Amino acid sequence: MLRIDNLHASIAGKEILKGINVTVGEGEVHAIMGPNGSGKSTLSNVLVGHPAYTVTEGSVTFRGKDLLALPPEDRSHEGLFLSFQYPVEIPGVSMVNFMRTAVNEQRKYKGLEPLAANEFLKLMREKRALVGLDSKLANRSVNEGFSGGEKKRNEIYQMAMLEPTLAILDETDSGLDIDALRIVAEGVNKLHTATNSVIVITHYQRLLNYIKPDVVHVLYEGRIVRTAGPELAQELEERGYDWLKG
Amino acid sequence: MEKLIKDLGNGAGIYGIGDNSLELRVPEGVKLAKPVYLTQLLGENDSLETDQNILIFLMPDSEADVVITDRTVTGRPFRISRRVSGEVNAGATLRLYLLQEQGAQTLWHNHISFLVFGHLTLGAFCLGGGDIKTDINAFNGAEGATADIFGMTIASGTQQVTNAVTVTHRAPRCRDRELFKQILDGEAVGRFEGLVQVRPQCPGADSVQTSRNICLSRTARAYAQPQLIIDTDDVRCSHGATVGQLDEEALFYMQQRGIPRHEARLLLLSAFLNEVIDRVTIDGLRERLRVMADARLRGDMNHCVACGVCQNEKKDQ
Repeated sequence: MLRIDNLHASIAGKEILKGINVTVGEGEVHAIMGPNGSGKSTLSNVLVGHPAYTVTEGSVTFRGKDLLALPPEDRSHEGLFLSFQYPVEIPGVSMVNFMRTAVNEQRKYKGLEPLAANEFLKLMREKRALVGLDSKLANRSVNEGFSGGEKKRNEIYQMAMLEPTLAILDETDSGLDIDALRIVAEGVNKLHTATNSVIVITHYQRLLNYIKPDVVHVLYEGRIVRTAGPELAQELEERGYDWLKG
Repeated sequence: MEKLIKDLGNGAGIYGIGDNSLELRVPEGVKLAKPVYLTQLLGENDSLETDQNILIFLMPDSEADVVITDRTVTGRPFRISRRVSGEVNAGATLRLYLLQEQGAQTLWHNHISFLVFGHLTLGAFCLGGGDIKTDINAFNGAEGATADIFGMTIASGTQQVTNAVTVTHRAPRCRDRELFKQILDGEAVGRFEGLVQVRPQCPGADSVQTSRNICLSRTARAYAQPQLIIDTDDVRCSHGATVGQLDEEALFYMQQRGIPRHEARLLLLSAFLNEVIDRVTIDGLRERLRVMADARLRGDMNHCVACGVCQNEKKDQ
């Protein structure tokens, strides 16, 4: 599904990713863990095409296509979704308008007719119920006045609406208490199927108690230094990141 | 000299005076049930230079909504001077909307002047081409009078658009609000000149001026010049102005959700204007403004959405 080959990327002239190799198969859940500054957010931003980052070497293949050659919106249409670490507020743009435009653009890309207004509202209600998003939030401007936990839940709601093939969760657990964390994890688990995949980027092992990974990678100073099964997460929790420096 | 053009019932009416003036009169206590639409379409055979007057007199405790729309065919260099003036007497409410949809070669000067003893709401929407100067003068002449003045400008090419708003408090405890938003592209120049004057012995004046501007190109220029001349203590007057570009993080967020960049820009620009459009109390007009603003932002001002003639013309192009 996703193959990252020798990826090097930099921002403002400084190299952050120094040769990343990761392969994610269909239906798999991968966790990417690492200390602050290791390049976790850089990796997720590079995958979705954030203009601040430059890829200097390497390639990324997503469902057989050259991902890096696609503009951000087409990467989304191909099935890539990022749950942002700090979702931005967009005053004046309603959630309804925003989601309807996003859903219909995706349908257009796939050669489908746009959804009629009533069908769209029905879809919104269905997905809202699935992830437990309060209806009053769905009627507001995008993320405006949302608490940290509500913003994260709104990310998962958008994921439910767009049904991505590969969802990247960038530090989804940061700023959440245990209850909010559990609700977000439940949403992610409900959306996960045998044909879509998830990359969970996290600093702490805690989220991985709820979203159980098949593979755990450790990112350190721009390189993947270890790849193993879920027990690696537990080992990091007990020993920290220092023992990997050697 | 005076001729009744339209009887609006209960003694209210629109009168033609001379050959270039219209007067709307609403008697005491009369509230017009429907908005008055004054629409001017200047075409191929109309005189290029005219002086026009519209007078609006609202007697005490009356109420009216008035929409003045101006459109000109493109390519003709109209030079128009238009005066809109009148009185809003005690307890009366006037909601006046100016829709400026002139063609590109137009030079248009609006002189708006009202003596307000009651409540004035004034919306100035500049969606067309040409060089437009709008001078608005509101005088709050009795205690408790209010002037709520807002406007939006979308300008591109080499347009020069100026909104100069002066509100003068001549009585205590009056209120004024100005909110002007501009979206400027190409080499357009947009000016907001706001002056609020509070005369002596007018305590309790409550005034807020806000100018918000987005420049879409490096060569567009927005000027915001708020001024306050305050001659009384114990007043609350403030002003704020911002000039900026679109929020790049918001744009990227939308792109990641599959919204192409140009559509994302339009969503943000529409959101920017909505704060002003939402102030319009006539439902149909509000929706029309949204559609027109969207068309203007997409570069198409010349075709009305609901008109068979325009839609057919569009198909042929």
